Amino acid sequence: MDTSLFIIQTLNGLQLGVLLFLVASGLTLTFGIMDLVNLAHGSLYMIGAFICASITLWTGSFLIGILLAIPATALVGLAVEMTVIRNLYPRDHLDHVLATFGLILCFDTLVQIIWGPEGIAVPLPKWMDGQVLLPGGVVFASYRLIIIGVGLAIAAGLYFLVVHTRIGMLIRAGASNRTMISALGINIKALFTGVFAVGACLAGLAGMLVSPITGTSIGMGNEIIITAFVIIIVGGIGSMKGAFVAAILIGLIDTLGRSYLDDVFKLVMNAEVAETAAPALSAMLIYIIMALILAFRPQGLFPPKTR
Amino acid sequence: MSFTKATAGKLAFAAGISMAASAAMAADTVKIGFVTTLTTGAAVMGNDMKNSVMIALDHIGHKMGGKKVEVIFEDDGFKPETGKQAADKLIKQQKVDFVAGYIWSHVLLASRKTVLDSGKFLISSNAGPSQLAGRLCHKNFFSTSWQNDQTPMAMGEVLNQKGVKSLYVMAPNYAAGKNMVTGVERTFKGKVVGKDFTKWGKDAQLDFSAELAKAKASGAQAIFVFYPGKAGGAFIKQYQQAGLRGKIDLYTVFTVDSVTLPLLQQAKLEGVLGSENTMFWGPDLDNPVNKKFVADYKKKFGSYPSHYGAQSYDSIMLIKACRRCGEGRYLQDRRDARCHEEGGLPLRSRQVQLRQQSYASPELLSAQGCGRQGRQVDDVGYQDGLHEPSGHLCQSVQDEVICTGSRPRQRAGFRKNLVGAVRVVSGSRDRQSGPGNSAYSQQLILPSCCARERNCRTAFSRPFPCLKRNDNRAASQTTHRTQWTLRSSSSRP
Repeated sequence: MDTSLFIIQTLNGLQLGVLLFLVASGLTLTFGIMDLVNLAHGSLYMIGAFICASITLWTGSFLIGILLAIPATALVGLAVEMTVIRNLYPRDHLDHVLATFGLILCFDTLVQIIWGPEGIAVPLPKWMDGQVLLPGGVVFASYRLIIIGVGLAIAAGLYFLVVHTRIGMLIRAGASNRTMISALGINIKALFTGVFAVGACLAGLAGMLVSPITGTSIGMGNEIIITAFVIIIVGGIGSMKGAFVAAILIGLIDTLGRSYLDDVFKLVMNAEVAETAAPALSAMLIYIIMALILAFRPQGLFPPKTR
Repeated sequence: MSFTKATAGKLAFAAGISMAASAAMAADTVKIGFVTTLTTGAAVMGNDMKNSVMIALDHIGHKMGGKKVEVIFEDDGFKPETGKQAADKLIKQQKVDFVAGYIWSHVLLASRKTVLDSGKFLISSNAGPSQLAGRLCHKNFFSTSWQNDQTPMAMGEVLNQKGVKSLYVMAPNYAAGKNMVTGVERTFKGKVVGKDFTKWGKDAQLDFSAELAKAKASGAQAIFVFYPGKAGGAFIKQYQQAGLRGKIDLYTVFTVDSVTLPLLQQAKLEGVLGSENTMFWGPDLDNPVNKKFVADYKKKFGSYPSHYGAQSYDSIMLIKACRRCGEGRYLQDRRDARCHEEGGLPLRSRQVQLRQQSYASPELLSAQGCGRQGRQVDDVGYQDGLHEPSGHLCQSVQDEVICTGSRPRQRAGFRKNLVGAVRVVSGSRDRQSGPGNSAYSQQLILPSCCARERNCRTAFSRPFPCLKRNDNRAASQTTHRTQWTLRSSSSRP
């Protein structure tokens, strides 16, 4: 096996993993703490990407785009929470699914009305757009390396926030027993709103980071939200650590599956069958993992301590 | 945008009125159902098609054969099942006479049975799955585009001429993607060192990091890709970001077009510049009909049309030609269809259907008696078991060559071209997915070119001189070298 290719693919997997973590962390916060099934989380990812893309094209700077789009996405998140989501807390999961699915349709149409269906390709500054030579002669796209760096930094920040701050304590308490923390006099409403906005920011940031790679498009969030749900199920619902480990795991499995599965298959079957079977199976791989986890460890890899 | 919406509104309104009165008006209105993708990111292609249909309707004064034309647009949502539902609705509720449109091969394949079983005509304005040119061939199926294999086959020849010895191939994992890969592999003489099919559909894979890393490690001289719509833009960005530009040359089909170019230009992605693609059509194609189409499109919608639009425009013109020649009778008594069966065209050899579609749609021959001309067609060499990728019916072929059996000179020209076509494909034994002999590949594109070169807008773009029969000149002349100039004057926001 070619080692430098393997290193590149591992880095690619890591990059996909941290992106997925940004989406899944927000989702696990809202799902774990607020017990809210938010399918529209992916729409915030899309909104973040589109806002960032517009600002980038306006100002000509991707960094300014990100810096302005994060608070803008937070505002959108706040608005959504206050107008729609807030009314859903007392209701059951089916209502959450219905309402947030409706939100997806609204957001998709809204984006089509505002930005048109064609999507936006986001230019990168020159210094991000090249490749870097890593030790060992591995050449890797610098922007993907930046994503890994930013993602890991945010993961560390979230870890600090959740484990070492008072807010984090409330969040963990909320994930463990919501009734109890409201009984202790915590303003649960404000906490929920805040958590939702943070989740929106994280999803939006993931969208912003991915847009120079794939471009923005309508429904881009719906593509990632399913994977994000898989991740929080694998990692354990409400667990930040679980989300991180599962996201990296899924990112690596997906990328390495796409890279090597057909070679593996070619060992045991003829090339033509392998070419057809490998992409089909590599698309299924993460769901197979989820099924295994659900069968053998339904609470997920790192479930939050409850009660 | 606002114009389109207003138009769509009016159209929906018109559709509503006519639905109410449809029973009474059925005989006085030509109803065309047009299925395309009007939601999701792929709507950019769907809108292009819709806009072009509008232009075509304007050009014909919303009349065909003296009857009012009504086009009902339906969205397939990029999903086979939704497309089939749309076709069901058009056939059963709206009772359309034609179903046209279809960007996606898998959507078309899902809808074909619904339409064809009802005895209506199905006209593909883009999708060209190989099955419909072979096993699933049907006398009521027509296309204004191509068979999927065709364009990449031309690309295979281009690669040969460029001296490319090793190639990496990437395409989406669905019907058309597989056809495209089959096509390029059929003509490319070098070695395909790696191949990736990626997930497709509404949640298509847009991050190609793993595949590009493999391509780079494979040491291939060139990479061939087919990524229509937004995936094309995404691929080219990542191709550039991965540092492949200048290392592995980029060759594409249906990836770089009027849909993706402005986005790439906006993002200053120069990785696409100098890459080559084969395509039968370009907005700069120099003939009167095309000039008028492109100019009117630009005037009305502020941007250049794509080949999706050109083919949709052709679809309406094809239907119009049918109406004119048949004087609308077949809609009442299906006389043409019978004529077709009783006439000279060899219905029993199903594989030739798509060739008929290219040059002599039996329905189009009806006015002057399809039997006579049909036999001529037969004389020059239709053979059982042959298969040819679908070709193009363009406006002037319909109007001047096929429809007017009374113009012997033009008919002779048409016949000569047909001979070329038959020669070209006579080496074919592959019934499923196209001619199996690569020696013919260059000429494959030839007959449709020649038939159209002089007076038809859907010929190859310059600088591709029309090839004469049995002329083996370079197919690479179909190649378009990507430049920004194509869209630089676009008024897109």
